[in-house]
Amino acid sequence: MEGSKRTEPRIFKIIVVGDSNVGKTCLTYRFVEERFPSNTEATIGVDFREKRVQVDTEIIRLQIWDTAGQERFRKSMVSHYYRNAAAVIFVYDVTCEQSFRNIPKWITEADQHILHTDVPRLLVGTKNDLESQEVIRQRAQRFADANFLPLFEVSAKSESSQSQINAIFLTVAHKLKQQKPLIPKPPGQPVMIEWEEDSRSSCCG
Amino acid sequence: MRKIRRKIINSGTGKSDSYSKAVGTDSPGIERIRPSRAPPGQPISEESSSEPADDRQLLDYYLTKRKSEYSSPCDVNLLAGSFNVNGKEPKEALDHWLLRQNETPDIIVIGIQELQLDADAYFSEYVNAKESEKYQKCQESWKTSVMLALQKYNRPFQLIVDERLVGMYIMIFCSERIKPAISKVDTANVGCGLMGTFGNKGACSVSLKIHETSFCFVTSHLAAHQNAIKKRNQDYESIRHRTVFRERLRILDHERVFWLGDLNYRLDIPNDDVRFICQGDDISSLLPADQLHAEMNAGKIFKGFHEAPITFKPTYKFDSGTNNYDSSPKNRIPAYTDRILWLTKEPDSVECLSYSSHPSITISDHKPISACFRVRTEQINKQIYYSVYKEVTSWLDKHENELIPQVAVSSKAIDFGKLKFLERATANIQLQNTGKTPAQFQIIDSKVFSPDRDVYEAFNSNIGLSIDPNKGILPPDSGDASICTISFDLNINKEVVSKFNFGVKQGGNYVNPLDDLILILKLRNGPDHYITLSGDWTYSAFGMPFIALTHSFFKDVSISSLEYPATSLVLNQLVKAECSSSNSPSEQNFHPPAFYVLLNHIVNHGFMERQLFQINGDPDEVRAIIDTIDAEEVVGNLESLPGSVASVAEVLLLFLNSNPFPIIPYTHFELCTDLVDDHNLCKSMIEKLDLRSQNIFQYLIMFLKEVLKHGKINGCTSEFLAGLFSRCILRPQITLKNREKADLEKRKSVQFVRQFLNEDESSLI
Repeated sequence: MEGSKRTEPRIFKIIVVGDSNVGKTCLTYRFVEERFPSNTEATIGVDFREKRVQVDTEIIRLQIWDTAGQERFRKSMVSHYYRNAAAVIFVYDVTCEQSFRNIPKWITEADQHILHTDVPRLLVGTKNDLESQEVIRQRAQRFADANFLPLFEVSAKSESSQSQINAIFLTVAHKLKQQKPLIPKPPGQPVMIEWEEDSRSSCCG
Repeated sequence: MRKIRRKIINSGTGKSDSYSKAVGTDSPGIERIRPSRAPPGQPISEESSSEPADDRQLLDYYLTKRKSEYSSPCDVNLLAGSFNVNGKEPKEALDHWLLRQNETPDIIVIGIQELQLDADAYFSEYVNAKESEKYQKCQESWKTSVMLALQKYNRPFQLIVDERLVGMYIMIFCSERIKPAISKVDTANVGCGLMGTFGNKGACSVSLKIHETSFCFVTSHLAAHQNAIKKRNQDYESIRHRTVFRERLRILDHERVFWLGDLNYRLDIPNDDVRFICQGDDISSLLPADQLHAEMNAGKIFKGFHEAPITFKPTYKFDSGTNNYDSSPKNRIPAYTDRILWLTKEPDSVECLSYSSHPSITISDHKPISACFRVRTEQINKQIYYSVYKEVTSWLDKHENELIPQVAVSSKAIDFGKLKFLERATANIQLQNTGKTPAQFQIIDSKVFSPDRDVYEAFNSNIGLSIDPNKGILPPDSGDASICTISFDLNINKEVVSKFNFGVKQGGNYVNPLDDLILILKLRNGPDHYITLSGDWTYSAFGMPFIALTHSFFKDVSISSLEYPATSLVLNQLVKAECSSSNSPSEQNFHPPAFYVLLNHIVNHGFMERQLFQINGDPDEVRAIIDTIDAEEVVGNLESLPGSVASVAEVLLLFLNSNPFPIIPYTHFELCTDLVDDHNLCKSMIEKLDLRSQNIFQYLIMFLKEVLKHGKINGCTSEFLAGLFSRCILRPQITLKNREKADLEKRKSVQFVRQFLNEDESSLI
């Protein structure tokens, strides 16, 4: 009977990328543990944490992959982790112009490694509690609009932005919920590149 | 989040509302609500198809455990009525049965049995009798009669759901007040009549939630006849096991179960005695003879169910239209066939306010019965629920995340310090399991890494690095056993030294091969740590191509002062040298100093050495000779090599074999081995090489022939020397996998060298 129809709980892999020291670990930590980590060393490697979120009546699990940001690991290593990513969060530091300028590089890289065209992407500016804001909101918004990225500015440090940070991941979760359960793409299938995808990579490259 | 939660609670009715609006209502004044299960032909609602499995259950389990924190009790009044109508039309008013003066119920459950007696109704499932007018008519007339009675209450009632199986029919009504609290309505029925499946006997059931408390209402008609106790018991078990609602919910999974109907259990007592007792007011002496009580007391059926004390007279069997017990020839023994039982998971949550029969209703050969209950339900404080919900999910997440293996790594950047050819460099790191589960680790090269694979090839370094251990399991919380020291051993031998000299191409640059390698400390089902390596490498004459060593570029530049970005310079110079056909005489006779010094030493001291090239040198002396050569202290001081002839001979072999290219370029390999039987052609081959290669070739051959001249003393034969030196003179770029063919190539190389060693002195240029 219908009542016995059951599905496995769905797990979605979300990869968080961005320059070194923009606060990727603090962001994921804030979301999963609901607090600011007392001290973080640079992530040398790739860590992940899981969190359940409820979307409508369904509980889905987000598996958040926190990657190393150093230049040294970017090309050779981080690219491995794009495989089967259900969503990508690009992170920059609003007090660090360079980290924002590097976002196109990260986007290009994601374009190269993500085969699905419908993988949700978000742009997050961190550390907006600090005074020395170098990347002004309007500029970031223009960039985000041009690249079809929802933009969020947050501070992982302040308690008050917990709900904002939750909102980021819930936004992702809502988008993901509409998707079919993650089935790894069988190898050898043609890669679909849509027109929009093309224009996106060229306008940020 | 709160909004989401509300959706869960109300999802049943919410969906039903929209459905009933779309379909319209059956009867004026009574809004009809369908069960939330999608009707046939409708798409299955999203809710039921995406109901998450184990995770949801786990969450529910822990939420239920803390229910008292976020829920508050809320009593509802329930009126349950059961009536075996013996296939009769409702000709009388049912007020006596269904109306209560003192208590107005919130929920009314009506169970009817023998709605239709005709045999063809038994086959309803099979002949689609449901469509038949008669089948519908009796149901509608009873429904209408019940509604008419309920309209006399001072508050309106709505039919939430009804379900029918042949003669059994269950209806649930609720007041406006309680309607928003009702959700998750579902129905099921089970036939256990003929052949155990027909619908003349069996049960119709409704599952629903009032506030957060789950209810199940069952109306059943069990097997008839005085002695069919066993069959009745079987029917009960069959209904209990086969009634399954959505989410695999069974009757006894509900927090409150109300079971009403014609259970058909009789009194085991002589007919006359029963009839005599029934003439009086005290029927208590009948009760010990009740089969149902006996079976329940024996623990055979209705385990855990309660029944209020019976104070009314047997409800069966009457002459229809009278209050007289059966006067037909069958002369049935009066019995308490009609019963209302309940089961609750929390003690004292159900209070029976009344339990009675209604003899004034005489339509049937049974009397209707009813019971009023005050039932406790749990109401949820959404705000507290949300905070508990958050706590529970965080707690589950925390556990989940703690199950991810974790290790602390003492250092993720390994520096080997100064690196030298043939000198082992070692560094250690410590791993400690800091997690709560065993940590299965493996160290792999980023080149063979794919995060989707669980099993990797063992680490296989091609730069002389070995890692011990490169995999293992660390138990958690086990003191020293949770710690493991991993040693990284770098041995830059003749096979890999050229890679350190040239570097490895990374992007457009040449870098130290250590910089190109990122090791991944992979934890199974856990995070990955990256380990980087570094070390200072300065150029060595070992592992440099002869052509680079002979080139004039290096005459003025100290090799050891070059650093990595200079690799491209070296290569550029090599390319230029290859391209330019002009070999200036000054360069033609230039031999690499190391090569020259090593050969010279043997020329001067080694020809008479016994077992020349046949015994190992002293390791310390070999080290000292290598250091002397790489420090370029030998230039201009030919006698300065330390150590014995055997050590110098070993270093010479190391020098020649660490060369990344053979003296005769790879491009000429095939031609040389093809021509191997014709010595003259071989000689002309050599003459076609560039002058530097020719010089080095001739110089080495001349040297080896000198060695051979003293063969009787030093023990060298042309065969032995050709075997020993052929690899640095002539070899294929790729060694064939086919062993036989590879051996053939090797034999031809040796033959090629040997013929030069055996030729006459005079034939040399």
